[in-house]
Amino acid sequence: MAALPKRIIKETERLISDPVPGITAYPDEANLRAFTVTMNGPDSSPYEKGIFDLELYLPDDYPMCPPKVRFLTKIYHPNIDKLGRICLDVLKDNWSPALQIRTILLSIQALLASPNPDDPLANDVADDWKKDEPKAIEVAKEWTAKYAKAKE
Amino acid sequence: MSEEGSIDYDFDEDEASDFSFESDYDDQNDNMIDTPIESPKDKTDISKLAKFKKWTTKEFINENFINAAVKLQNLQLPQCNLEDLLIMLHQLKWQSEEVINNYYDNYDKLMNDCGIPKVKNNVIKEKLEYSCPICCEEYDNIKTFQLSCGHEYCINCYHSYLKTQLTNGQLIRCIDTSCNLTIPHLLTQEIFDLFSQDVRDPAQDFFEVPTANSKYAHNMLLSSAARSYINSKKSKYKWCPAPDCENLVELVDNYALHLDNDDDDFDEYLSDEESTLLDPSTNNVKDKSKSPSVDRPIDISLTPIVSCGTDHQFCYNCQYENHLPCPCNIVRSWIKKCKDDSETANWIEANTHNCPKCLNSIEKNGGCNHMTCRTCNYEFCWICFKEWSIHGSQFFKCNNFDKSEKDAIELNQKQKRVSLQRYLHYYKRFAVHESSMKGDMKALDKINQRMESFMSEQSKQNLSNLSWTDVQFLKDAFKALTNGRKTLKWSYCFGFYMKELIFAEVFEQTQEHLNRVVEDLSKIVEEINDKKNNDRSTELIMKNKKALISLTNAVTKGQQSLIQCAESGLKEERLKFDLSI
Ligand SMILES: [Zn+2]
Ligand SMILES: [Zn+2]
Ligand SMILES: [Zn+2]
Ligand SMILES: [Zn+2]
Ligand SMILES: [Zn+2]
Ligand SMILES: [Zn+2]
Repeated sequence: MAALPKRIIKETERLISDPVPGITAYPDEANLRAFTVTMNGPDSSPYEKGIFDLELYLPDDYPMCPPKVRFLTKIYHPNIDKLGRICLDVLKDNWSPALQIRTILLSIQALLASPNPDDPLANDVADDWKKDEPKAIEVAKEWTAKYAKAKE
Repeated sequence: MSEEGSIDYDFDEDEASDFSFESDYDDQNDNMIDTPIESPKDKTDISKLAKFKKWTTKEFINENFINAAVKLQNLQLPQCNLEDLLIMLHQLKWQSEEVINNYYDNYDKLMNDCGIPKVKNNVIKEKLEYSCPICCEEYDNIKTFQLSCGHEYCINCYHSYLKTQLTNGQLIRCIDTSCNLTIPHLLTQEIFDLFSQDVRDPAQDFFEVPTANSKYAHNMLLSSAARSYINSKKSKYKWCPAPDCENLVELVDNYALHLDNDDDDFDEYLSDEESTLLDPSTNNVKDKSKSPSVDRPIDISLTPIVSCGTDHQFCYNCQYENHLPCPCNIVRSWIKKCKDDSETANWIEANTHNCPKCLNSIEKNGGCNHMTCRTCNYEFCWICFKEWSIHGSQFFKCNNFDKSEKDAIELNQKQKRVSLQRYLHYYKRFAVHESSMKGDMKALDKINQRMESFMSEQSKQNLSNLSWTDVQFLKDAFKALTNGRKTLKWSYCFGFYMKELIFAEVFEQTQEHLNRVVEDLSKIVEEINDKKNNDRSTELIMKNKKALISLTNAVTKGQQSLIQCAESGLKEERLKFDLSI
């Protein structure tokens, strides 16, 4: 494997020494471009008290191209589909090499705090959300309690 | 920047609205459309339908992007410089009107959207020590780049950034996420050029007076913008489908041209069309507004065959090579069938490379299908593998699927096998002419090169005064042979779907004639090119000049009559297709 770019080394060091509150991110020993991420559901959101697992991968052309991020824990959210893929502008067209892993993770956390059903990825969830928001929030809470439990 | 007021157009402005583009190696073509049929009737037919215009990518950028900016500067917005105008046009999707309106109605918003600052200070710096926040490298001795905002990054990062941004064809902004400033078009190229290996020919630059157009001549951002602009207007512009060709054709005026699939929904179109044609008896029940042409006889003279600036003919509707005598829907069925049956086709490829007599393997180099085995000297036809000498006789038909053979098979085998056999028969001929076309092209290329070096040698030594017009016949032969083969190739697709009506025999005879003259012409080309004749190839060319010219004419005529035969046959419904095959 080619030597790890300085940029990735620096970002990794900072993620560990100065972690984002409510988020952990550790590189895999076998592949330093692959990270295991956990994210606490934001307070006063349907995902509160949940702990979500994500995977994050830095492609070869990072930071010119955005990291690839996916939820591993099942989640009921209009911008996250069944496979855990996330619809977020900074992960696509609005990516800039000036952004970092930590800024991306913060953006994802913000997306959990304020779902956007008008720009949906999971159409059925977005429809539920628009039709009956209180009910959709209930389902999201149920899923959080059921799937996003802390591991022993 | 006001010197840019004097513009030097790459091509004459008066003629820019018409066809004045010089093609690379061919004579100027002042026809709006270049059908393979030279009859004036067909030209007027097509021009009754639509008017087309040919572009190279470079001409397209010059006219629609650079000249648009130059015009704005000269006429409406002389206070702006060319770089800013290009950015405004780019931001507003190259609509000059929009630029003028926005400039006067909402100047501040326009400048902000375009990322144009009031004071400009874009710099590429040389630094002895620099630590870049993007790549985190600590450099000693590095170039950095910053726009007027002062967001500075190393040139390596900016270069990689530009490369990834180039794909979407949009304006490229400062790397900083909160910063909207745009990198001007010339600067993007300046950064690319810092990393470019190939040095441009200084002689070329020396003769070129720097103009607005030449300054942007190799601008990668404009090329990428052109690509996405053209791709976003699919019914108005079509890229030439020839490999490595970067020309396009614009539909300037559409009087009555009916285009099938503007939305690229090819499969949907196909199934719809197919189902209607499959069962003609249901035509009366079907909604006619959906397929208005089904009841009328097919008119292939309405096929929108256009040609690009370098003379590649293609169908504007299918965006596929000139497929006459086949109408578009037949072509679609055929392409689909060939895709579905590609395994069988591979089988043929693998099994037909031996001499039918001595079974030694034979390599086919040129395009000619009149083969002579190098081992046993047996002369045979590459297509039907029968003896070549019988091909001249009246009764022999290389192109015809033998009905007695078919009857025999029908008796013994299932229907399915016959239809496969039948398909293989036509597919093989289709494929052979396709690959022969490539062989012909290679051979003719070689001849052309030899002729050119011979001529320059002759004129250097003042030995003869051969002029280019004296060897025009070679180019004509090249064109006739390629076009003849193409028509021949598609005539086998035609044959595959053709119903067995009496007039079909006339079509097949015309086809056989074209086959014959094409192979004769191809044979001469191959002989001239034979390694044995290496040192006297130019002598052979001049010696065969007469034969080449007359065969060129014969091929062109044969091609025309085959297409005309198909055209009139279909119009008068003496020829019909059966798409259920
Ligand atoms: Zn850098
Ligand atoms: Zn900036
Ligand atoms: Zn072309
Ligand atoms: Zn077509
Ligand atoms: Zn042999
Ligand atoms: Zn034959």
